[in-house]
Parts: sequence; structure tokens; C-alpha cells
Amino acid sequence: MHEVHQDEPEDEQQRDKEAAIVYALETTEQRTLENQLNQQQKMETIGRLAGNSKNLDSLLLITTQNFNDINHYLQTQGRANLSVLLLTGGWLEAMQITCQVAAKDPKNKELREKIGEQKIILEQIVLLYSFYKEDENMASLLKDLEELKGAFDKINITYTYKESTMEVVNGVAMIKDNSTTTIDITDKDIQNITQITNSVRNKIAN
Amino acid sequence: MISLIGLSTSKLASQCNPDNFANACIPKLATGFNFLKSYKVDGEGGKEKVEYSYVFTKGTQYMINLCANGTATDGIVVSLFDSGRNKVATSKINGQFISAIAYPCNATGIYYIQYTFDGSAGKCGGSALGFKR
Repeated sequence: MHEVHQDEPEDEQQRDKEAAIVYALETTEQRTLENQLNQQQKMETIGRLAGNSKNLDSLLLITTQNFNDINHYLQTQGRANLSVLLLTGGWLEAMQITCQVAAKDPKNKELREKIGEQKIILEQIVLLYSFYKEDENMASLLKDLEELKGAFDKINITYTYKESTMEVVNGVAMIKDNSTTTIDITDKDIQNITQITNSVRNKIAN
Repeated sequence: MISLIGLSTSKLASQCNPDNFANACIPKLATGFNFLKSYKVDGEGGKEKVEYSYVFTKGTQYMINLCANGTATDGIVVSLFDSGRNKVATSKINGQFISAIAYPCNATGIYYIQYTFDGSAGKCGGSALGFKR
């Protein structure tokens, strides 16, 4: 005789719960993979655009939007420290490239000033790190960034405020900024900054 | 019951959704300007101003525009201050509300982008910042 077993209501409820959990996990995994895939697709697009100087505007738009999206995501996930690390990595990479180009063209005033201006940006980056002193990895990188900041502290930036003027042209307020800055930066400053930037960057990359 | 529904409906209607306005502002940046960042302007709850900061670089021209409900700016004014809190630009000129500022930066530094409400009905909008060299 074939016996038919009727499931207890509790067993059925338990099975429903387990099925719901499995479904949620699979869906989450699928969405995570999709997000990762989107990032892969974005990186491929960025790589293609970077290969042609005519695509700079599109490249800038995509990388800017992508960074903003990643930053927003990390902030909402309570992982803002990763956002700060992402920012630092990008800045260090750009600094290294700028220093390399400046070394090949030492009389280029604009490049020298661009390096000197980074004093202001680095101050803000170091300020961000002050919120993560408890994080061992961040604390270690902060030490390196403070060494770099020491090199930048030797640079003088003088800001002179002068009232701006404005006029409306085609519905847009066109401002004339009459303020100025002068940046005092020596060859020795650039050498120090270059050396420390390379050291910090290579430490991270290796 | 009906008064409760009316109350909850009016509460929903007054909720600001600045994301839409911020996104709408991005394609409205003038030709040649690359998008940098969008900003939400939400003055609900009696806020007198909404402020953000950004590092502007010498030799770069920036554009900040405004998007809101109804009339172009709905009384929202954007002003720019340098690191010393000197006002270097504003979108209300001679009583006229302008929907965009073009600011060619001559001095690298931290700038404060401040949104205030001058007779604004909704106190809700968005803004986009772009740049070109």
C-alpha cells in the first residue's frame, strides 16, 4: 500500500522560507554580476575612447559620471573610505604623469604652476584622511601623504582678491574674475615632489 | 478619512525631488562645457541656503546653471564665493534672475557654490557644473 504523507504546516513554512532565501541570494548574485558587467563594459568603452584624442569630451563625460556613480554607491554602502582611496589613487597617478612630463619640459611655466597648485588639493585629501585615522591601511597611506605634503608646504601660493565684474550675454551671466594667484615653486621643490610622488605611487602599485 | 488622505496628498505634493532637476540641468550646459557635477537644491524645512564646495583651477572656465519648476529659476539664486568668502559671482543681476553663470577662473582654490531662495515658490531645484579650457 502506498502511503501518502501529509506535510506538517511548520515543515511547509520552513521550506518556503528557505526557498525565499535561496531566491534572494541568487537574485543578488545575478545583480552583482550584472553590475560588475556594466563596470566591465564601461571600462571597455573608456579604453576605446582613450585611444583617440578626438574623443576627449566623451571620455571626460563617461569617466566623470562613472566616478560620481561609484562614489555615490560607496557612500550609500557605508564604504566611503574606499571612495577616498579611489580619489587618492587617481590623483597620485595624475601627479606622477604630470611630474614626468614636467621633467621633460622643465621651462614650462604652466606645468610648474599646475604642480604647485596641487598643494591646495593635497591639503583637502589629507583632511579627508583625518576621518579615517582608526583604519590601519588609511593611516599608513596618510603618513606617506603627509610626507608629500611636507614637500608641498615649501611652495608659496599668494592669492590677491579683486572684485569681479559681470555682464549678461545671451541669458548667461559672464563673469570677469579680477583676482590673481602667484605660485612660487623652485626646481628643487619639483624634484622633491616628483621623488616622493613616485615613491608613494610605486608603494601602492606594488 | 478624506481629510487624512488630503493631508497625506498635500505632504507628498510638497516633497522636493531635486534629482530630476539636477539631471535635467546636465544637457543644458552650454556647448563646449564638459559636465563635472550636478547639485541638488532642496530648501524645504526652512533652509535659507544650500552650499557645496569645489576646487576651481586657474585657466579653466566654469559654468553653473539652474533648473527648477515653472519659471526658469523659480527664485533660486546661485552665488560663488572664494576661499576667503568674497562673493565673486551671482546669478541675480540688477533684479534679474539669470539661469547660468560662466566663470573663467583666474585663481586656483576652494570655491563655495551657494544656492539661496529669493521669493522662491518651490524652494526646489537642481544645478549642474561644467568646465572648459
